[in-house]
Amino acid sequence: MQPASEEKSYAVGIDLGTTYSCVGVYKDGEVQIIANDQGNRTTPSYVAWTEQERLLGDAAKNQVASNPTNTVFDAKRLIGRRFDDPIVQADLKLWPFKVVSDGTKDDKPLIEIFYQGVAKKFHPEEISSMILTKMKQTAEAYLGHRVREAVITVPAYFNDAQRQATKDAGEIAGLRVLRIVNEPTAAAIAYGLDKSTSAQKETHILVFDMGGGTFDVSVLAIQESVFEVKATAGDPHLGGEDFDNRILSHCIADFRRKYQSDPTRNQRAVRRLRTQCERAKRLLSTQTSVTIEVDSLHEGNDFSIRLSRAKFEELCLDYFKKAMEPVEQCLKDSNLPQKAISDIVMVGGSTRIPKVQELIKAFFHGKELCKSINPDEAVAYGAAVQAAIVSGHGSEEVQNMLLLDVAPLSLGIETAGGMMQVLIERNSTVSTSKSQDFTTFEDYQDHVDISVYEGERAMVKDNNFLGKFTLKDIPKSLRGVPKIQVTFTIDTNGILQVSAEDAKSNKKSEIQIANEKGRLTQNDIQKMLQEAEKYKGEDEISKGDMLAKEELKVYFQRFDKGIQDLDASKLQEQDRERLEKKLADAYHWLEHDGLKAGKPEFEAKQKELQAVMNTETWTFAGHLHSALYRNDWEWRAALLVCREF
Amino acid sequence: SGSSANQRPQDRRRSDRAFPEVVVQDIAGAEHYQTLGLQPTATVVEVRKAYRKLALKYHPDKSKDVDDGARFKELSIAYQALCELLD
Repeated sequence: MQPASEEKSYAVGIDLGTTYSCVGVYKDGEVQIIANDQGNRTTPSYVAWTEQERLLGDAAKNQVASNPTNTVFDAKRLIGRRFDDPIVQADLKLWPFKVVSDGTKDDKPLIEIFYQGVAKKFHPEEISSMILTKMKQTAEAYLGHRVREAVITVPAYFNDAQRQATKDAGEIAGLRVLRIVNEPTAAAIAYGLDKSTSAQKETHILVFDMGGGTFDVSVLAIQESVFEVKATAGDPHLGGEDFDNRILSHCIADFRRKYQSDPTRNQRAVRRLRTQCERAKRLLSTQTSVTIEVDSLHEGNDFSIRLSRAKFEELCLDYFKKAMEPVEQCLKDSNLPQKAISDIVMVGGSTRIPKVQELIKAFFHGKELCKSINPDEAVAYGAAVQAAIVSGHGSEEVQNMLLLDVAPLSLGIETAGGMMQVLIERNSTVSTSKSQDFTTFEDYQDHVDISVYEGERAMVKDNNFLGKFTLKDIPKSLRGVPKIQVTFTIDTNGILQVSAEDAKSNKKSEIQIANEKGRLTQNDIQKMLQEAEKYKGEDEISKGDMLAKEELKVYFQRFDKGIQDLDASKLQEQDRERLEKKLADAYHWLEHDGLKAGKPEFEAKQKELQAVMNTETWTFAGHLHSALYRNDWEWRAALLVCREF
Repeated sequence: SGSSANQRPQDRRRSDRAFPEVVVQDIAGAEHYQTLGLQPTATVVEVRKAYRKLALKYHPDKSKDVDDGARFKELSIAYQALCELLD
């Protein structure tokens, strides 16, 4: 029971994406997806450091071209990986920000940026925690209450280390992580609630989740509000950004051909071009060709290229085809024929690509795809429902729901000869535990090393090492005599604990895999928490400035629109010119003096414009005023921007 | 290194020519039905239904009781074994 003095607190669901994140909350019997201070329902997973301040989300992404080395994104592609991981090494070449090894035996990657003249290094967990903080603040602004608990989603195919690291990121952001939920599973809840699953009969659905950085497929059985994951498969490194990169390479090759010069070392140029490539990719989902244009891209040369949808598909076809493999695997693992799948649920921005839809449709012999749920918001939606289920805050409908998720990878230990002995098979429902007896390999052996691995290969060297411990003081006897019981226990977050016990001596030894290998220690997390608190102080000040600035910008836009919307009968030409001049001056001020200004200056500027408006005739002021707050949505967006908490 | 754990059944197979793990499997099979409160004649559809109904009661999301959590693990093991057997 919570003490009565405890203030009201909500549990939110956060989809922490590679490129975008989204937050939702279950409130008054339904899920609300929460818009950020810019009015956007998804927030770029970006963090940037400028001369003066740290920027998060839209503000960070918007300035990436002018500040490429200090703008960090893709933390999800680093989290829970080692620096020498081939995937990290390949990604490094594409990132404008610097990543280095921490130099320890764990070989953890660190992101290095410059802030106020000093080099600073951050763990990927810290970058993710900053994005989570932003999502938390977004939710708090909307709810008007503190948010302390969250369900965070990860790709179903994330391994143990990646799950742990994501959980740590939540802690650093000051959130109690109620549960780590698989993204396709969360999406399935969104779909299931939408369909109202009171049916007695068991139905099977396939969730195809392709986002900006990761790709997952899950098959679920749904029966009377119980969602059981049958199998899951995927690629933790396949998504929209890979397609952007293909377009980018195509453009760079074209630029080289045209100008005999290489823009790849010009980071600003590459970033500007990449932004246009991403835009082109999006447009190609609805139109058959686009023009990618960047003025003065490199050494004063303008760049322009026509890209057809067919060419885009050709550039990425191997990726698209690769995405069909996990679909096949997942059906095989769940022991179901294609025709047993009653719905194919498409989630993630990349499922908007017509070719992706075409391929999966063809795989299922022309079956129509389910697009009734919002591909960008479904995961956060499901996470919000799961948060309500776990925290016990939901309605009756939600309280009757149950999610049975699975472990995505087989878990086992090394036996003689470097073989992998699996204890928990992949796609086992969590939580679960499994014991198996082992014995000694040599006569009078007094200890055994238990090395824990995850993966599907027969030899442990091909699998992923998770941790190791030793069971000591086994009473000496001939080989094969001692009975050592090894027990694997996996909790509802998919996190593993391993113990070994000698039957004769009752000696026991165990590890929570979480505490081993490259994971942050509790000490690290504490330090990072303090660091984050420090930033919070700085953020509070600069956030006040930023909010005032944003409010002023919104005011400018409305002012401008107000003037444009009035015809000659309501606004005389000379007045129009005078007002436009005033506005142009104000814009100029914002772009120059405004860079160094704080909250008081921004507020003063807004008052100044208000004063101009108030001196006009009543008719004009009235019209302008109604134009300023024309529709409800804009008004609410303005309120959101202005609200401080 | 000679200190890796060696899997017991392989050794037994060589020395005893017995397959105790198979015997264990048979007993466990009957136990699994019992765990789910079913007769050994139950179909795979009945197994699924019984498991989901019990899961709604014993899953850690539905009950904070530690014993229930352990019970859920047993249910899952039984369910998985029976699905493999019947599928």
